[in-house]
This record gives sequence, structure tokens and C-alpha cells, in this order.
Amino acid sequence: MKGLQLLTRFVARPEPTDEQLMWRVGTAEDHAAFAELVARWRGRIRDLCGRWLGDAALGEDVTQNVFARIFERRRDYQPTGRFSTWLWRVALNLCHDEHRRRSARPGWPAAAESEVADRHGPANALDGLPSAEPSPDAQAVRDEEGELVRAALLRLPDPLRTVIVLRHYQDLKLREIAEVLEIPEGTVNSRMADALVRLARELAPNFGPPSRPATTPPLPFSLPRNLNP
Amino acid sequence: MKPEHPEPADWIPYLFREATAESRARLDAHLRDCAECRARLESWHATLDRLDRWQLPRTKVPMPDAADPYRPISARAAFASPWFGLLRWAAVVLVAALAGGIAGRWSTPPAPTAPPVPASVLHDQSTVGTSAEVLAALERLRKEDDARYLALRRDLETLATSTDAAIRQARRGLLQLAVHQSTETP
Repeated sequence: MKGLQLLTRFVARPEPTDEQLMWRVGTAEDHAAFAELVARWRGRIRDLCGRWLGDAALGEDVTQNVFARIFERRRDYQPTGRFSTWLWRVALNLCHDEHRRRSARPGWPAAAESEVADRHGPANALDGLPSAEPSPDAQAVRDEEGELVRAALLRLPDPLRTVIVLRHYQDLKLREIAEVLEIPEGTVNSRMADALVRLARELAPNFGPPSRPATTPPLPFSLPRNLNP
Repeated sequence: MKPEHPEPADWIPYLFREATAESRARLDAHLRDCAECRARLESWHATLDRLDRWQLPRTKVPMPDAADPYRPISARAAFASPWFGLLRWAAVVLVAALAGGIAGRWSTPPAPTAPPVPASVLHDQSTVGTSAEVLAALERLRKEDDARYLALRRDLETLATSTDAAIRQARRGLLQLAVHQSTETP
């Protein structure tokens, strides 16, 4: 038993940082290190691309391109900078490229009917299990509201949509967004304010009273109860 | 007198709880007296809530397996500096060799006993003494082998303990180096 404990302590090493892994990829062609980076970041990049492009399947395709690009340019990575900053930047550039490419096609952006179908399709592993999900009518309302949000985001100019997606969906700090986009933090704040004004104007007429999910922090002040925006 | 409003961009760090203490105090004070700004913040907060109504569905497109970079692998094997990797493999080889040696010794069949002296030989008095001498010699050899085996086992265990200590020390040194390098990285 003591030998097993010794062996366990021997093989248990602290988790390498992203920068250490990428250094290994760039200098030693370490595929294992790259696979670890993919495992760590795939989910967030997929979410970013899906949100930014307004299409989950397209986001998945672009995500694969993102990591292929990262590997292709592994020797360009400078270990003095954060890996995440570089990764976000590559992902956003590819999203921009994909968006420009598809904007030339008629009918873009398409309604994401396939996304609604996927959620209720036969491949859903939760089929048949007791569900805490709302009733079909409530789900239909949610789907419609989700589609309104998706469409409103897609109508935003690219720079405004970028800051909204990075801050609200990816939870990057404003300073980090400025670093990724290589713009002053004041510019990030201005774009965010513009984006929120536009979104508020588009969404408010179509939604009921807002509900506060647990992930959204409460307002930092108390409002008088008789105040209506 | 109508309060002077901060710029819309000034509210963004406040909205996302990233404002400095000084800025937060200033904006708090303004909000106490300005219904217009309170309304604006409430509107933005409601908008952020509504953004969460859009749930991104899971797609079923797997990451490609053809390219090596996408092969999943345990995190424990993901990183090793050349030095530590070589040292670790050297230790594994050494321990395996020691374990093999010890296992070999333990699994070694007992020294073959002298075959039973055929009855015809036993009955031949002229060969009885010789057979006994042979048996005694074989017994001596067996005892000498056992003594050598025990000495070798002691030596191997000592070597394994010393190697383990050396590996631990090397690992500590590598961790310190990694920490030092990561703190230097901006």
C-alpha cells in the first residue's frame, strides 16, 4: 500500500499551464500537450463561435478550424503573452471570416430552426427520463424568446456583438476584452453601452417582466419599487 | 438642479461590478438622486437577463480524430520537460529492472534436488559415500545461493530507496523551476 501511495505521489504532478502546454506544442511538436489544450478550451470556443455566428453547428465547424489554425501557427505563439488572449483572437478572426463569407449568400442569417429541432430531436439522451423542463408550451415560448435574442444579436454590428458575447457569455473581464481586441478599455465600454442600448430597444417590446437567473448578479443598488424603465 | 449625468460608457464597469471603489462610490451617490440613470441601468440589467433566454443547443459533431492533435489524452501525460521526462523514464526502467530481478529471484524454482539415487546404486556400497558427498555439496551450494540472493535483495532495496529519494528531490527542483518561470511570464 505504501508503495502504491509512493507511486501515486510520483506520477501526480501539478497541472501544466496553458502557456507551458503551448510551449511544448511549438517547440517539441507535442501532440499530447495540444490535445490537452483542445480538451480544456474546446467548450468555450465552441460557445463563443456559436454565439457570435448565431448558429451552433456552424460554430462547431469554426471551432475545429480554430484549433487547426492554432496548431498550424504554433511557432508563432509568443510565450510572453497569455495563450487565452491569442486563442480568443484567432477564434474571433475566423468567426469574422466565416461571417463575411456567408453574408454574401442570400438568406443569411438563416433562422435557426435546426437548432430547435436538435434540442427536441430523437438523439436527445434525456428522452424518456422524468424531466424538470417546462411544459411544451412554456418551452415553445422559451424557444421563441431565444430566437428573438439570437436574431437581435446578429443584427448588431460585429464590434458590438463581439463585446457582448465576450463579456456576457464568456465572462471575460472588460480589461481582458480590451487586451483581446487590442483596443482601449474605454472603447470596450463605449461599444458595450451602445450594444446594450440597441438590444434593449429591440428586446423590451417582445419580452415580459425579466426574471433574474442565479448567474446574473443583482443590481448594485436598490431601486424604488414604483420605478418603471 | 439636474444632476450632471456620467457618460453611458462610465456605467459599464459599474454594471458588471468591475468599477473601482472610488468610481463605485461616485456613481452610487449619483444614482441616489437620478431616476433617469437608475432607469437606464435597470433597462440594461433586464437586457442582460434576456440574453440568457437564448440557450445554445449541443451539437453532435465530434472533433476529428484523424489528426493527432485531437486525440484525447490524460492530462497527467500532457506535459513533461525533456529532463524530467528522461529522469522519470529512467526511474521507471530502473524500478522495472529491480522488480524484475526481485520477481525473478522469488520465482526462481528451488535448486533442483539431487535426483533420487537409484536403488541399484544405493545397494552398491562403493557408491554410497560418493552420493552422500554429492548431496552434501549440493546442499552447501544451495545455502550459498540463498545467502547471495538475500544479500542481493538487500542491495536492491537500498538502491530503490535511494533512487526514490533522488527522484523526489529532482521533482521538487523542477517544480520550483516551473513556478519561477511562470511567475516571470507577464
